Amino acid sequence: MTADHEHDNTPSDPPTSTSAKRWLQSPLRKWREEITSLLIALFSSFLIGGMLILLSGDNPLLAYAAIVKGAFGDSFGIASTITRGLPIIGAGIATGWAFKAGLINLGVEGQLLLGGMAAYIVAVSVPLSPILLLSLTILASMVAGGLWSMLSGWLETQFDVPILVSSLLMNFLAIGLVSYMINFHFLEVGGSRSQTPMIADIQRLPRLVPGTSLSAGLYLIIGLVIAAMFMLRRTAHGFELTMFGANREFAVSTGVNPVRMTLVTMFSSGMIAGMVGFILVFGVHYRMIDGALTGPGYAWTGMMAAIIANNNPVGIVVGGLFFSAVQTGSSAMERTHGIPFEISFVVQAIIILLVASRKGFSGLKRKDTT
Amino acid sequence: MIDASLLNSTFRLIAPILLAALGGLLCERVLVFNIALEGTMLLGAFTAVAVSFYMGSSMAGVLAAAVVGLLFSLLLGVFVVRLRSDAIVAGIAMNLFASGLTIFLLRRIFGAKGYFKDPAIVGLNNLEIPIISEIPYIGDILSGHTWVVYLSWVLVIVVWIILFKQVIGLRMRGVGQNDFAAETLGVNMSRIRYIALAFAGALCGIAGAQLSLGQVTLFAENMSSGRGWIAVVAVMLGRDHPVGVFSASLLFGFAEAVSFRLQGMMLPHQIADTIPYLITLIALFIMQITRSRRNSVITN
Amino acid sequence: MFELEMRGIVKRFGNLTANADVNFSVKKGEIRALVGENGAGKTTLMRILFGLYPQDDGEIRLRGQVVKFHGPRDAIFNGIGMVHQHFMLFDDLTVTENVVFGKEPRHWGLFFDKRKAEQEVEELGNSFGLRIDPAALLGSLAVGERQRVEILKTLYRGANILILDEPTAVLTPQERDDLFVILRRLADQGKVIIFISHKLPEVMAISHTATVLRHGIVTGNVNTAESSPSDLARLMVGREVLLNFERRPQDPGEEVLSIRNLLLTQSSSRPILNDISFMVRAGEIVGLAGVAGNGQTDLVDIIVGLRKADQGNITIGGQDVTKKSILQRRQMGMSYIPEDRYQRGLAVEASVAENLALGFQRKPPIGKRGLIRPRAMQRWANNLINIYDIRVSSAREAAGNLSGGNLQKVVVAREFSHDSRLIIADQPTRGVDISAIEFIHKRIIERRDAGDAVLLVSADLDEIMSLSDRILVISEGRIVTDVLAKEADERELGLFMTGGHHATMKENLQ
Repeated sequence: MTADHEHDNTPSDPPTSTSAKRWLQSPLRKWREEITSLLIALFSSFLIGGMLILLSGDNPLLAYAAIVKGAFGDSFGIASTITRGLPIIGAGIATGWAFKAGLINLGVEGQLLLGGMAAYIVAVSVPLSPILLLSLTILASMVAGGLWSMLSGWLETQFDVPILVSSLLMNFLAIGLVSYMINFHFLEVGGSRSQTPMIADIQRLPRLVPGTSLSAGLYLIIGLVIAAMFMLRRTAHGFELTMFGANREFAVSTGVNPVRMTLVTMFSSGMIAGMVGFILVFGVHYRMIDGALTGPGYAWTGMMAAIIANNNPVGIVVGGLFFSAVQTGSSAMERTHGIPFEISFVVQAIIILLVASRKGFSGLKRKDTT
Repeated sequence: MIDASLLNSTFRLIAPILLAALGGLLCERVLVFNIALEGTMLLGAFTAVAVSFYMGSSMAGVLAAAVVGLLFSLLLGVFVVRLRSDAIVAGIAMNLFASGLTIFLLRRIFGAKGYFKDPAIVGLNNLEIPIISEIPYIGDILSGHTWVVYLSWVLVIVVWIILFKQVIGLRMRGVGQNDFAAETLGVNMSRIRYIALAFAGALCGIAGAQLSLGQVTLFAENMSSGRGWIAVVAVMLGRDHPVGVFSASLLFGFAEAVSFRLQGMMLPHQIADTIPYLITLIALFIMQITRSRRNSVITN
Repeated sequence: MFELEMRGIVKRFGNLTANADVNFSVKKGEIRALVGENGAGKTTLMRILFGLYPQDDGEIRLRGQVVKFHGPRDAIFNGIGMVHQHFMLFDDLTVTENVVFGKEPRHWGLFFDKRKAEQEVEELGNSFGLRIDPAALLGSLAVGERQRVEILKTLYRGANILILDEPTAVLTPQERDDLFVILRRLADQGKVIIFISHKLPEVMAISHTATVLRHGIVTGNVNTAESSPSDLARLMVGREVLLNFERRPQDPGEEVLSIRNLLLTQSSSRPILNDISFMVRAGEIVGLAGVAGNGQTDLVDIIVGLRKADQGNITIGGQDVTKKSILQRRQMGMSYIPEDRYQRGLAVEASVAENLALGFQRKPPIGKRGLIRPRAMQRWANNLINIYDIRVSSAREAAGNLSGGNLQKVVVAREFSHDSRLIIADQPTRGVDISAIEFIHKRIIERRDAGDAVLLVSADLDEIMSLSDRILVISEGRIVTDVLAKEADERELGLFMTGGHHATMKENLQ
C-alpha cells in the first residue's frame, strides 16, 4: 500500500497522453484481471462439467454444441433464453441490492413467492378497472415481498438475529404458506393439479413474441435494471448504500443510520423480488402453480449472477442471461440428446465456487454468531 | 397428546439434524462457518440409496455416504481454508452443487424424475432392543430405531469426550476462543480445520443416509429440505456444546414430530410443514432476546 | 558474559524506521527496563527478539551464539518467553489448560492427562513463588492472576529470558507489588527479565538497569540506582520541539464542546471513564494527552456518538447532544478524524472521489434533493486533491492504492470540508510521513484561527505540545491535569501521563 505517485498531475487540467494512460490503466487493469479470472473459472467449470458428461456416457462436445444451439440457434431459443433470463435477472438485482449493502438476503425465493401470491389474490379479489388493477397488483406484490424481507431485517436490527439465517428459514415458511393458500383457498376446481384458476385475459401481461412465453415483463425488468443503475450512481441513497456495504463503520461514523439503511435495503430487496413474482404469475403462468416459482431455482441462479457480477446491475444482466442461456440450452439439449438438464446447475455451482475463491462479498465480515 | 409414539418419533427425527449439528459444532469451534451441511447431507442421502441399491446392503450405503460426505467437506475445506474463500459464498455454492449433482445423477443413473424408489434399495431396519423394549412407555420411546439413530445419541457422548477430554478437543476449544493465541502456541490451524470439516462431512453423510434409508427408503430431490440449515441454528442455540446441541435438536425433532401428528389431525400438511422452521426462528429469537444487548451503536 | 546480545538492530516498515542501529545487551539475573514513548520502537525490538518478524539488519546472540528466528516457535525453543500487553489467554479454559496448551501431557496418546498437567503446573508455580489455583477457570481470575498465568506459560516452556510488555498497565498497585516480588525472585534464580514500560516510578522501583529509546534510537543506558525519573523522562521525550507554528495569540470564544461528568463502566474492574468533565472553546485547540489505553478511545466514541456513556452529558454549542445521533451531531457542526483510518475513516475499495464525498451527498454542490451529480463529485474531489496536495493519479483510483500519509490527507480533506465548528481529531498523524504531518498540522491551526474548536487526542506528546492552546492529560479514565500550553512543562506532562504524580507510590515500591 505504499504506491506513492510521485509525478505531479494537476487533475483539473485536461490530462496529457501519458497521464491519461496512467489513469486509464488503474481501474481498467483491475477490470482486466477480473475478467481474466472469470474466464478461467468459466473454462474450468465447463471442463469439469464436460468430464461429468463424459463419465455418464455422453459426448461433451455434442452436448455443449446442443446447448449453444438451444439457447441461440433460433428465435424461439433466443426468446426462451430471454424469458427465463427475466426472473433470473430480477432475482439477481434483488439479491445483489442487499449484498451491495452488506446484507446477506437469502430469502429472495420466499419473497418472490409471496409477491406472486399477493398479486394473484388482489387480482382475483378486487373488482377494479384493468389499469387500476394492474397497478394495484404490482404494488401488492412489491409490498408483500418487501414486508417479508423487511421482517428479517427488523429481526436483525432489533434482536441481532442474523439476516442470513432468518431470511433463509423464512423461505420455508413462505413456501408452506403459499402452498396452503393455493390448495385450500384458491384451488382450481375440477383440475387434478395443485394450481389456481387462471387470471382473466385482460389482466395478463401481453406476449411480445407469439408462440413464446416472453411477456411485457421484459419492460419491467429493463426498467428495473435502469432504475437500479440510476439509484446506485445518481442518488444519495444509492451512494450511501454502496459505502455502507464497503465499510459499515465508516459510513456510520459519517452519519448513515445503520438501522434505517438495513430496513430500507431489505424492503427494497424484497420489493424487487416480489415484482419478479408478479412477472412470473402475470406474464408466464397466468396462475399460481404450486412449486412453479421455486422449482426452476430462479432466486438461486439470480444470486449466483449477483455474486459473479459483484452486485453490479449491468453485470447481473450479463450473468443472468448467461446462466439463462446455459439452462435454456440445457433444456433443449435434454430434448435432443437426453442428457439431464440439471447439468447446468452443476456447472453454475462450479463457476461460483471458482469465482468465489477470488473474492467474497465486498466488505462483508462474518457476523460473530457465538 | 404427548404419547409414547410422539416421543418415539421425536427421537427418531432428530437424528439427521443432530448428526449434522454435531459436525457443525466442531467446525464452529475452529471458526469455520460451515453452511454446507445441507448439501453434504443431500449428497449423503443420494449416495446411501445408490450404494444400497447396487450392493444390496444398507450398511454399505451408510459407509459410502460417510465417505462421500467426508470428501465433499474436504473440498469445501480447500476453498475456505486453503484458498480463503468467503465461507458463506463457498457454502452456498457447495449446496447448490450438491443439489444439481444429485438431481443430475438421479436422472442419469436411475432415469428417475422427482424421486427414486425401488424394492432393491435396502433400508435400515428398526431395531428392538432386548430388555428396554419391554419397559412400558420408556420402551416404546427408546426402542425400535435404526442403528444410525442410536449412533447419533452415542455420538453426542463421543463428541463430548473428544472436545473435553482429548488434546485435540482442547486445542479446538482454544482456537475458537482466541485463534491468534492458539496459533502462536503451536497449533496448526489448517490441519485442525480440515479435521473438523472431515468429521462434519462424515456425520452429514450419515445424516443423509438416515434420511434416505432410515426414515423412508427412497431418494427425493432436495430431500434434505432445510435440515442442514436447522442444524446450523441448532449449533447456535446449543452454544457449540454437544449437550446444548442435543437439546436444540430435540426441540426441532419434537417440532417435526408434532407437525406430522397435526397433519394426521386435519391440519393441512403445508402448514404443518412450516412448524419446524417456525419453531427454529422463534427459538433463535428468544435466544437473542435473552442475551444482553451490546452498548455500541455500530453493530446494529 | 551477556546472556542476551542484540547488536545493530535495524527494522523498517515502509518509510518508517522503527529501530535504527539498536544495541541491547543484558546479563543473567538482570532486570532491564526498556523505556520510551508510544512509537519509540520498544515493542518492535522485542517482537524481533521473540521471532514475530525478522530484523532488516543486525544480529542476535544468546550466550555468545548467533541465533536466527523464523518464528515464535524458534524463540520459545531457545528459551525466550513473552508476556504480551494484551494477554493471549483462553477465558473458558482452566489455568492449567492455558499453561500447557500446545504442549499437553497425554495419556493413551489422544487423551489429555489432566492430573499430570495440574501437578506440573502446581509444582512450577511453587518453585517460582507464583500463587495460582491450577483448576481455576481463567475467566474468573483477576488481572494480576491472569498475568501470573502468562508468566507460568513462559516458564513451562523453559524460558530463561522473559519479556514483559507494559505489564503494569492494567494492574492495581497491590497486584503490581506482587508482580515485582515475583520478578525479583525470578531474577535471583538467574532469569533475564526485560520490562517494557513507560511508567517511570515503576521502572525506578524494579529495574537494575534501563535502556531508553526515542524514535527508534537508543538515547541512553542507565544504571537505575544512579538515575531519576526526570532523567529518564528527558531521555524519553527529548528536547526537540518538532514544529513551531506561527499563530495568532489565542482568542478563545464561547464554549463549543462541553463534557460533564461522563461515566463509563465495565464489569467488576475500575470504570473506563470516571467522572470526566472538560470543555473546548471556539478558536482553541485542546490537546488530550495520554498513553494509549487510558480511556481516550471510548471517550472519543462517546463524543462522536458511536457509543453511549452510562452517565453524564455532552453539549455542542450549548445544545445537549447526549441522546442525539451521529448525523445530528454532525449537522450541529461536528467533524471527526478517526483514530484508525482503515477501520472508520475510509473504504479502501471505493475510489478516492467517493471517499472524499461521503458526508456531502445530500448537500450542494454534490447533492440536490436526493440526487447526486457525478461530475460535481469529480470536481469536488479534484478540488480537494489539489488543495490538499494528495498524491494520486486520478480521483477514480481505489483508495487502497494510496500511501498512509496520502490517505490521512483524504480523511482530513473530507472532514475539514464540512462547515464545522468542532473538530475531533483522534491521532490525526499516526502512521504518516513527516511532510504530511506538517501539512495536516498547518491545516488544524488554520481551522483554529478561523474560529473552530479543536479537540486533539494524541499519544504523541510532541504533537500535543506544538499544537495545543490548552493541554489535558487522561490517565486511567480520569483527567489528571488541565494546563495552558505555554505554562506546561513536557517533563511534568510526561510524569502525569505515566502516573508519576502519585506521591505514595515511591514508598510502596521500596
